Amino acid sequence: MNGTLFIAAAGLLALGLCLLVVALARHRDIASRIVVVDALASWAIAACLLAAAVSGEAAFVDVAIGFALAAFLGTIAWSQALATSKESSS
Amino acid sequence: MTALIAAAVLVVGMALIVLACFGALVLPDALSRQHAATKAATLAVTVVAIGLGALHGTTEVWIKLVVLLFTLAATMPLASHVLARAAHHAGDDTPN
Repeated sequence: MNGTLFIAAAGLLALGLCLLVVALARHRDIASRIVVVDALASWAIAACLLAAAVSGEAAFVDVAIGFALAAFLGTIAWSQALATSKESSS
Repeated sequence: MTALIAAAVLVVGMALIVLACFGALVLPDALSRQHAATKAATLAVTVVAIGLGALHGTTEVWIKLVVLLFTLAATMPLASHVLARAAHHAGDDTPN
């Protein structure tokens, strides 16, 4: 029964990834694409937690923590790049 | 029985992730997409973490999950704010 629920969770996770890829392809403005990449980081954190749940390895939670920090720095960096590029072009 | 409930909570968290991704796809502009991508995703990861903690309820896992949730609660609003300000300054906050 647990196995079925894990497969359902993995299926939902795959559906979420498909939606994000479509969103990344469809949105034309840079800010929306950064938002989608941010959502992709949250998706990856959830994937790490699901991996920890299925395997029983607590080390996957460490990976999720590292991912959260890297995603934070990435979002800040891309946002600053967006702000400065528009300032220099206008 | 506890394991079953914990796995069901995991599935609920994944459904919230799908909702966040759906919002990032269909909402009309960058700022409203951000509402879906940050708030709903934070809630979803919290629910998934609670499910994982209930499933493998060792002290080590709970401590790591608390650290993860604290990290998310501290960084997500900051990143969201910086991104929203950049989008507003760049003029990307109108529907497209």
